[in-house]
Amino acid sequence: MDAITLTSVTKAYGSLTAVDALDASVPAGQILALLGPNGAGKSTTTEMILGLTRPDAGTVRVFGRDAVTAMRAGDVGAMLQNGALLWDVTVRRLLRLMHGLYAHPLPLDEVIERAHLGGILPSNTNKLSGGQAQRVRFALAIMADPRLLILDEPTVGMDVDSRRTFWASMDSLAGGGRTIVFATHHLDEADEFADRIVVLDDGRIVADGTGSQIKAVVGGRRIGFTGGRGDHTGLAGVVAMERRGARTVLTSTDSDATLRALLADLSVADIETSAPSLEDAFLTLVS
Amino acid sequence: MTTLAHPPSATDRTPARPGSPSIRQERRLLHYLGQSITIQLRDWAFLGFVIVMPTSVYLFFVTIYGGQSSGQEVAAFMMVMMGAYGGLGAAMNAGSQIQSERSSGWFRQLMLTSLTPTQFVLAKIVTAVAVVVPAISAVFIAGAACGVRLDAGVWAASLALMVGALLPMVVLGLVIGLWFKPQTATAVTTFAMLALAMLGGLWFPLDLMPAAMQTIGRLLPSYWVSQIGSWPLTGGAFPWTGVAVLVGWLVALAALGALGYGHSVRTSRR
Repeated sequence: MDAITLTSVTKAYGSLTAVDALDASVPAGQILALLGPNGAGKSTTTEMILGLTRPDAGTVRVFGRDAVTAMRAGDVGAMLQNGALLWDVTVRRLLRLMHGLYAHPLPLDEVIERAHLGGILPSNTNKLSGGQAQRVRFALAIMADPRLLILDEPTVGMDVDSRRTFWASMDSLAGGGRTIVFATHHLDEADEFADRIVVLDDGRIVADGTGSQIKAVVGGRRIGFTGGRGDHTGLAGVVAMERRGARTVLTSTDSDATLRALLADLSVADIETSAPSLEDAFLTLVS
Repeated sequence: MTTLAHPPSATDRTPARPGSPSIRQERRLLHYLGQSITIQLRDWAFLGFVIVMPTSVYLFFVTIYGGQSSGQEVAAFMMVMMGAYGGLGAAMNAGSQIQSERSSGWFRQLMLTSLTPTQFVLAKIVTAVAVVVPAISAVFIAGAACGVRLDAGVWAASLALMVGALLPMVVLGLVIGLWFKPQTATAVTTFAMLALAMLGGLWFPLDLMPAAMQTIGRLLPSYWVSQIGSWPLTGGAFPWTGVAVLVGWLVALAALGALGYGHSVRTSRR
């Protein structure tokens, strides 16, 4: 069964078309990363799946039901971008208030443990750091014990350490067979964590596949080195050359042949060969 | 694409909850209501404002006029007028809470639970009533301290009637919170409260005003709050005209509120 089915979903704000006849389905159990530049339609799409925004045209189905019904039934949990917390109450009171509002919530102790909130229960919500507030939002997202979890830029404001802890706790949640959809600007997170990556631009899907499929869009290998300031575009396999400070980066369709030719130049040093990153693919797709 | 059935997680491993869906719905509403009232009544700054303001104005007026021959009677009627004024402020300020929850985006978070919009609005209205009661009671206590002596039944009837009569004003607070931008809403609430108090004769009796203003005053809910509230003291025919005016306001404001609710969901901050 599909967790999410979008059928020619369109949403416009005035003359701006935020989401343009989007068709997509997400099978249950999948972990999907939603990428796209600002204004690509990521937030509008997630809002329609959550039932916060109604599409102008097309249909949104969540586990075969309409979005609001699925939300009320406790099938969906979400972490909104910059989602607000109730002001000037303790974290404990906030959690207790929310816990009574779900159809079949996880036990409160389990929520506190999974979101690592044990240490900040007596803290006032207006004195939390960015990372702490994000953990509280995460707690609210999983509290419903949802089958579908939607996370809009979940690791914004977290340091490297918190990000790692966050994804570790996500891993244990995903193990339970939950469907997870997350939007992110950290492409490494998408690459590492998602089964599938969907790239949105101007409200349309411009790429849809696994990380390696998306990277294949760019193709070729990168060869970086210092020295050798001459023109290398004539070498075998080279399709592009770029200078980044002291380094030169060649894009090649045949890195072996390019390297053989390149090594004839004795001033070339510190050679590095790499596959194109997801970022390269992303920039190519949305440029 | 995986075709596996949903593994034993989420709903499956959740033990069945007793009770029918409607009972769970009611329990959810009561839970939200209880929590909201607790949070509201712990807001000492807010409570202090809605209680201290009308009580001190009342004591000020009683000190000025109280020395006259009909002092005790004046003190009693002024008590009802100022009680209505205090209740008005408390009722309308309930709108400031929904407004702050909206501007911060907390409202959207609530819409990601099983709480329905109707339950949310109901809970907010009852919470507002909960704040109205201490606001009126404080003025009544000040009245008693100033020598107002009434039967227990009269005190209770006056309080209960005013709480009921203030219901349209609670909805007005909600409507302002729903329709105006946060920065504007506070100003609009204060302005509307002062206008309703002045034109409705809560500060100076309507009888002392020019005829045109009396006509306006009789169309305002604030005037009828004090009229209905003082009926247990005066006796005579019950002011049913006032009930009609209040019901009219309630219906109109409820309609505006229903429209504003959809507006609020769409424009609340992301």
